[in-house]
Amino acid sequence: MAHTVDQQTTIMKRNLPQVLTPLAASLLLGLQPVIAQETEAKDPASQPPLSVEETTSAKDKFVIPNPGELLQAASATIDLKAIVGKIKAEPVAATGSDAILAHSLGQLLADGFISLHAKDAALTKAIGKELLTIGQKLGADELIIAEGKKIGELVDAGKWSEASTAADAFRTKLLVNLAKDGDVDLITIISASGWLHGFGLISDQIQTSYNGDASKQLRQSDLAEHLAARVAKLPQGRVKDAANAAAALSEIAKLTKVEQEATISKESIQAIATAAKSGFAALEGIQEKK
Amino acid sequence: MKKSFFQRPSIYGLIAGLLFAATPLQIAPASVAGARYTAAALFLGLRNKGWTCRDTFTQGLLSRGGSITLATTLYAGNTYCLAASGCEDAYDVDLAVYDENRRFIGSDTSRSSLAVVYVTPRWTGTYYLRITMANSTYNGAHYVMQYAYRGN
Repeated sequence: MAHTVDQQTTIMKRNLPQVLTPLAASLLLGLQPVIAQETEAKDPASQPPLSVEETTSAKDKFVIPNPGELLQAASATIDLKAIVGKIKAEPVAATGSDAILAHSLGQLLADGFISLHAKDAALTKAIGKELLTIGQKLGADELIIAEGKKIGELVDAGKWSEASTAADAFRTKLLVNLAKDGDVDLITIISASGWLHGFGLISDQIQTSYNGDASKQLRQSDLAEHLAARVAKLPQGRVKDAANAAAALSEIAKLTKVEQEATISKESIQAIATAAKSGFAALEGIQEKK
Repeated sequence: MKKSFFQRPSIYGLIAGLLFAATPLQIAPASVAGARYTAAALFLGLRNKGWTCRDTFTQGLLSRGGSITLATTLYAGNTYCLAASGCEDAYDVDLAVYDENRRFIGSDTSRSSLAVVYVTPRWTGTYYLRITMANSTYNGAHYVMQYAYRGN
């Protein structure tokens, strides 16, 4: 039934106490925690530390950062343009088994991110082209490939920051897309190969023109250990030597475990670069038997 | 003749349908989407201000009062926005950040389904993020942990 304006006003006036009482009560109840929350101040020194058990279980749920994060942070202390010359000299395998292609894809992702952060347009686009070809061979969807092509357009327009964000997103989507068939090993090969190759190039550069501040960016011991555990689970017959690759990652974990704000010595960085190269070579895919 | 309750198929079907719909049979993808949606405005604003978002995010289901701790690498030279958000069933999500020595760095314990902590790491290394479902519906709620960063 439709009410006129006057009738509605009368109904509201008649019901006002019934309406207001629960409203006031709920407001009071709702305000209580808000007041409590505003008076809460956390002094870091007075907070209890995280338990050892929690840190142990957390390492099983390690979240791998974007490649762009390290490069963004490192660009202030590492000459990325100097690494670009080394990238140009390294060819990749573009045919073979899925494991061979995954290893190449990992290498190209690392090379692509470094060239992008070094703002080398020609190299970024050339790597991107190779990367998309291999992605297609591994079964990436057309939509993902189209997203990859857009990065080239951003590079052409000189929108480096947007291109970097798009590259981070593209990498994640590509890995998720390639994992759709449930081949987790393939993702491990791409991630670990890319990380080892990129870490090797950066370590090599820090060692060539030693810089203590830059060496601090290599403190990624737990991340290396996490990748070592994943690589150790790779089945036989997919990569050349998974055990050796895992050992190389564990060696890197050991060498990069230094005190906070401590620098890593030039000798250790040389050893890190060597371990990264040997781990990357051991992860090379092999032609699977049909 | 008056029909009994069970002879009214439309009412019976409606009640059965409502009961079925209310039963939490499986994890609804919409809940994870809901948890991401809670932080969507924050991340959209950050993107517009030149922050880069990690497209990888951690998701899961937490019981009411339950918590989970994740580990990740954060790099000195960047500032991070770490955000834990809950789905439609979450009333209060908290986030606390610790360094590799298990020392407390910061937290957001406000009564909201979105908890945000900004961190500028002094050194590169492992950091721990503890997400707590402080309050939710009785059967818990979904959470999503998301990250954004920018160079200092």
